[in-house]
Amino acid sequence: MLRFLPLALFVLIAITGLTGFYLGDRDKLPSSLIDRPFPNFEAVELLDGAKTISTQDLLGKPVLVNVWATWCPTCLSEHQSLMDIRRKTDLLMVGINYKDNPEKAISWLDQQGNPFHLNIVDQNGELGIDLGVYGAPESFLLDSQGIIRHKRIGDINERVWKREFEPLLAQLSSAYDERLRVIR
Amino acid sequence: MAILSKLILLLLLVAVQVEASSSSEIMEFDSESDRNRYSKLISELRCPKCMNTNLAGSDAPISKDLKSKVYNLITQDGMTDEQIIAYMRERYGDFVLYDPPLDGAAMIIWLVPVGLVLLAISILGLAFTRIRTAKNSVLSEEKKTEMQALLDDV
Repeated sequence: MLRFLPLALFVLIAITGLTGFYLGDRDKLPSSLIDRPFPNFEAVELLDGAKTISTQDLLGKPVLVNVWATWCPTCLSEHQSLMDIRRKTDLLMVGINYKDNPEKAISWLDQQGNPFHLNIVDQNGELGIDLGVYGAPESFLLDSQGIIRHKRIGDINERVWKREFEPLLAQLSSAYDERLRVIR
Repeated sequence: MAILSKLILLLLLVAVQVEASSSSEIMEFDSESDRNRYSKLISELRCPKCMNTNLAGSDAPISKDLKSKVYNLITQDGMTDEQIIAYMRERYGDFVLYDPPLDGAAMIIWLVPVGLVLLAISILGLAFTRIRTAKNSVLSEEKKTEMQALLDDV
C-alpha cells in the first residue's frame, strides 16, 4: 500500500500544477455573463444613422453578436466565416462596431461585404465594458429570449463553428421551434 | 563626493516626479480620499488583456477605458469600493481581481501545498520518534542473558 504513496503524491502535485496553469489561461476565461440577459443598451445603427437599436431588437430568435473593428486584423480573417454563417443559418446577425471610426467601418463593410442584419455603434466602448469585452473579435450567442448562451474570445472559423456553436445552436433552434408551436 | 551625493539626490527627485505623474495622470478629484480610492482600486484591479499587470501599470486601450470607468463610477455614480469591485467582477469575472475569492480551483492550489507540507512534517516527526525510541529501548532480561552468553563464548 505504502509503495504507491510516492505515485499518489506525484499525481496530487501534478493536478495542482495543472489547475494553476489553466487558471491563468485568459482565453478560457469563463464569461460571468453566461446564462444572463444581454445588457441593456441603446445605440445608433452604423449604416442607418437615424435608427436607434436597443436590447428589444435582439429578442425573438437566436442571435449571433460579433464584436468587430477595422483596426482588428483577426476580424478581417474571420470575415468570410461570418459571411458563410449568414448564408447558412437563419440567425439574426448583429455586429458591434467596437471603438472604431464609423466612416472607416462603413467603407470596410462596403468592400468586404456585410454579414450583419444590424450594426451597433459602440465608439467609446461602453457596451463593450458591459459585455466584459477586452479585445476584438469576440462573439456571443444569444437565445431567442436574449440570454447569453456562449462567448467566444478570438475568431470564429469553420472548425470553431462546428465544435462550439453548431451543437448549441441546434439546441436553441429546437427550443425556439417548440416555443413557436406552443404559441400557435 | 559632494557631487556624487547631489547627483543621487537629483536622481531620487526625478524618480519621485515620474512616479507621481504616472499614478495621478490628469484626473481631477473632489477630495483627496476619492483620489486615494481611485489609486487603490486601479492597483487592485487586473488588466483583463494582460497576463500579469494591474490597471495602474498598463497602457492597453482596455485598461485606459476601465480606468476612466472606475473614475466615473467614483466621481459621478458615487459607488462604494465594494460596488465597483462587484461591477467589474460581474463583467470580467474573478480574473479581474488580484485577490480572488478562495473557492473551487483556487482552493486546490492554496490548500494542496499546505497539506503537503503538513504531511511531510508528520512523516519526519514519525521517523524521528521511531529513531529515538529505538535508541532508548532497553533489552529485556531474557535478551540480556542471551547476549551475555554470546559474549562469554567469544
